[in-house]
Amino acid sequence: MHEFAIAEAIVRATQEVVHQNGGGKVEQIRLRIGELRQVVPDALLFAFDILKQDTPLEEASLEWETVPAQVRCKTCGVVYHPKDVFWECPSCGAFGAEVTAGEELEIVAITLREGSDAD
Amino acid sequence: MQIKVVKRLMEASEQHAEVVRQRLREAGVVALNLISAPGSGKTSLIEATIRELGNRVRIGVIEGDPDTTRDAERIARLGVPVVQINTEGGCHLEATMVLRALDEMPPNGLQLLFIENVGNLVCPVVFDLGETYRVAVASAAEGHDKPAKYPALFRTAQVTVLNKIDLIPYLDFDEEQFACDVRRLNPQMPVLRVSCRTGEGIGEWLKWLDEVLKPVV
Repeated sequence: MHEFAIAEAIVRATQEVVHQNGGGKVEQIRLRIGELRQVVPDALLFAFDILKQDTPLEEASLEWETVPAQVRCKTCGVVYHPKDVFWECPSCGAFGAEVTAGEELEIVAITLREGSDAD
Repeated sequence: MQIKVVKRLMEASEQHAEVVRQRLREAGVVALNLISAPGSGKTSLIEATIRELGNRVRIGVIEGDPDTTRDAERIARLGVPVVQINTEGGCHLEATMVLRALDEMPPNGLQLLFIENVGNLVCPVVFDLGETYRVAVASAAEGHDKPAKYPALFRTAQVTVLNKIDLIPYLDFDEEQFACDVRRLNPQMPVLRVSCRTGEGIGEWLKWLDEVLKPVV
């Protein structure tokens, strides 16, 4: 359940951004979550629903797009989407690659409710 | 109104890890983050290391467990400074917890710091603690499928220790499959076969430690 720690970070980071933008009630938070982060959607929503209580995020919903994994072969440099856990290069057949996408864990947009007051 | 941002959620956690790393670097300490399933022998590996190296390397230990101080008591019996972190149900350690532990046990004077994470093969992998090396510990008793089922740990570790090899004759443990899966996940990573109970293979582990301790010992 590292989802609790992630939900905690969402609540904290959102409050920070909202505060910098003059405050208000949050309607929706949009995230980008990399496929390699192993985030379980139900666990994240469960944690978020608990942690948002008594904050300006109380009525906020979470939306996210999953970013597919992409890795670069350490042997031949080809960039590919791994089809299983072992990351076998489709071009040269070598194992071992570095991640170029799929580890994202970020807020990309926060929607504030129209006409909501500063907090 | 929509606010467009790119706010990385792990930012705060990564900054804390950087503070730990800085502090350990200044103190001249090599820190190992031990990650494994519960019961694979992390504490036994630390005990074996203290017995072998304790007279020539200054070792400290941070023990992470949901509850009890049992592991810390085991380490304290060997006369080594130890701090127990109880996560009270929490499934992993975070860098802020390590920072608090370092306040209790200042790293100055230490050369090797073990950070024993909470027994769990998923969550601890997500959190950088500011360690110098990440050590994956597996045991033969858990079966050979752990690397394939929990690939992220084996991809991000710098060494794998396979413990309880003395039990292999009594288990359906396919060692070739285990080694092959680890090699595919992380081709350069050494896999050290040990039995903390019999002492078999501990020499290889000590050799690896000697290499990583070179900058500080």
